[in-house]
Amino acid sequence: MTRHFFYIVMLTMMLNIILNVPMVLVQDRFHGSIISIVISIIIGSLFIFLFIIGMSRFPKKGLPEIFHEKFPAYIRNPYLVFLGIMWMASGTFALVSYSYVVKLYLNPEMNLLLILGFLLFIIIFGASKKTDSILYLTEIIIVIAAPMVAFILFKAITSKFFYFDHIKRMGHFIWQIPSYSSISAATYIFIGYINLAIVNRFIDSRKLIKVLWTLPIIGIFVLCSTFFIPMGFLGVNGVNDVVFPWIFITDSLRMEFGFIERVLYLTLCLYLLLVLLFGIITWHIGLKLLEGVFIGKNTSAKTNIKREKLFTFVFLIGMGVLTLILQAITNQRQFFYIVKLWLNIRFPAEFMLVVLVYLISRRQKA
Amino acid sequence: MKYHLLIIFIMVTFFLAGCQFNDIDKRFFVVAIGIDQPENAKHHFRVMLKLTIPSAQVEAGKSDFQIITQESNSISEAIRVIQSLVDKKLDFGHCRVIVLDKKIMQSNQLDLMKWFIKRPDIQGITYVAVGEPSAKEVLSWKVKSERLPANALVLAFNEVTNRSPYVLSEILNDYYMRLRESGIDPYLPIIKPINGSFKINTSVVLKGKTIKAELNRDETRLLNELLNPEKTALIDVGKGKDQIFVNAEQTKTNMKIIIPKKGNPYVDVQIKIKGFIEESQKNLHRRSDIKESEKKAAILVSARVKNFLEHLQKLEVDPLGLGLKYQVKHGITKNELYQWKNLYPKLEFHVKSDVKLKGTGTMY
Repeated sequence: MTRHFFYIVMLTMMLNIILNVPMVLVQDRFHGSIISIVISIIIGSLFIFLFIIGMSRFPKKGLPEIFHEKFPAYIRNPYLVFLGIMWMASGTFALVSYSYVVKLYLNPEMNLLLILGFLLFIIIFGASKKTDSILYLTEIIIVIAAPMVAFILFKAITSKFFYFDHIKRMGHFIWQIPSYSSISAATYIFIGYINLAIVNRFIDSRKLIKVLWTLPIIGIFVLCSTFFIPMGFLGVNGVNDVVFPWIFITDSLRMEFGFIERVLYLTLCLYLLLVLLFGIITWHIGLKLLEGVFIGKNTSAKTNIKREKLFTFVFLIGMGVLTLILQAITNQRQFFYIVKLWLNIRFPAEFMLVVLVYLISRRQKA
Repeated sequence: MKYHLLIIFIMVTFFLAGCQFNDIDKRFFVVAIGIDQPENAKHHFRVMLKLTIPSAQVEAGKSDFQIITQESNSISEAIRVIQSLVDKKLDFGHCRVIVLDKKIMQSNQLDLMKWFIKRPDIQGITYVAVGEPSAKEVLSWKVKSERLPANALVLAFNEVTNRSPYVLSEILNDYYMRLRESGIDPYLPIIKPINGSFKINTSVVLKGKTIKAELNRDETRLLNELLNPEKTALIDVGKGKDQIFVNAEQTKTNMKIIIPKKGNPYVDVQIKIKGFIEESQKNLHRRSDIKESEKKAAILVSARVKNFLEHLQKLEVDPLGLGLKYQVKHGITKNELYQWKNLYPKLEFHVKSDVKLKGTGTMY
């Protein structure tokens, strides 16, 4: 099942081509975005290596089990809850962002909360399934979506309206001190590996180490296309005029011989699929991390299984309601501000987790 | 499990809200938008919407439409008023052509275009053009062969259906980028209604955000060839008995700004053309004949392109993006933009072209 790990990492990368990450990078484009992309590739791949080496010392164990062995309850439980909530938040933010996209392009007359509610319904339904069946789902969707994303990227680069000169103009802004938020946003591209915290129960992560070198390469490609391709269409100034630069530029593309002429709709449907999948995975992993709090208690009894199911649904629905409230009380600008804040908090949290896992794995005799 | 599947299927149908709560027969499809100079001086624009009237049979020349006009200070206000003049909901999803009046182009185009860009339902691939004598004339013109309203214009601008080197086409997103960025100037084709059809072979170039000059037919063709390498161009070489016509299938243009330490700054233009001879008075049997024609064609192309570039230089417009190329090398701050402004009128053009003739068609 090692390939499923790659699917999840790929999913996160593909998703963040259009959502949230380009927003931060584009804002800071004259203040060291390019150098932060370079730095984040180094940091991101370092994190991946350390985390996977760390996790591979604990075969067939998830993060909750590892923590259960190593830490007392009063440290482990709050930390697991924190990680779980952080991780669910990343799915939530993708969903809320995408509900704005749906409102804008697909269903302009529908209520935003209603759109988000439907998305959440699917997410809650999917996230309450078993981990391995979610992994199979990931494989199906990525195998369908990846060629299409590649097609859209290809279409964009070969377009007549893609001016390479705009990208070259950015060359004058390479040597600038990068801002912290642009680094933390750019490293977010690689975040998919955190799922290994739970998925490690099903994956032999020692096998992963051999093929890990592919991830930085894909990362470079993804980050560059995230940042530079919208610029090639819109120019270095114009790129900041639009809210979702990537979705905007797919509207400059035309499929003369396709079913639908506007590439925009292909992108939207494709990314709807990816956002839903991303939501399902993050919420599921967050849920499992939280369930780790109850580890060690007798779970085999029949009443307990029922109680666990009840807990799952109540918790997920509770999170869904929180997401709806977040949507209701913020406008788009405030929401982006919150995302940016969250991206900034996420980076040290990720760093802490990776270092922690690596350190406790050093003491573990493999 | 069956129960779950049922729930999923029910959920899926929710997302198939195909008509968005509004059936297709309760909508008016806007296929083209025109903006004219208003008659009343109080207002800024006169907005025209071309609405389709759907009919059961699609036949050439039977496309039926309706044009609603409203003068207003802003487009969004005009659209709201127009909505009150018609019975059905306006739908901009099929708007494929935006026609502007030449007089309206003397005001700032960027502010005008922002409305179109901001609306997600107007396609980014919408064609933008100038209408002569007015946008209204162009919108209300009946084309004999047209099967669907405004379809004739869409087909004329489409690169696949119409490969004529005279037809320039410009889409909304690209037009916006050209208006927004310094270093590259916008251009727009001009549509003129003629008896039963359209004539699209001239164009306007803009300087910055307002109109600067009009290009005639040959200049438009040259601009098109330099902008779009996939257009098939026709090159006429020589005169009288020696005249040949070359059908250029591929035109590759490469431009570089070179600022030597000594001497004048110049633009190095390399043109590579591949093509066939389409028409010639003489028989071209020998290899040397073709070689000679290649040479003649190359000299002619160089001279023609040089003239054209100098013409653009005189007009102080830059639709080819030379300013961008300068910025790539020297930076994009205000200081460099100012320097480029001074430099551009002094630039020389060194054009070198290379014509390769692959054959002469069915005859020698």
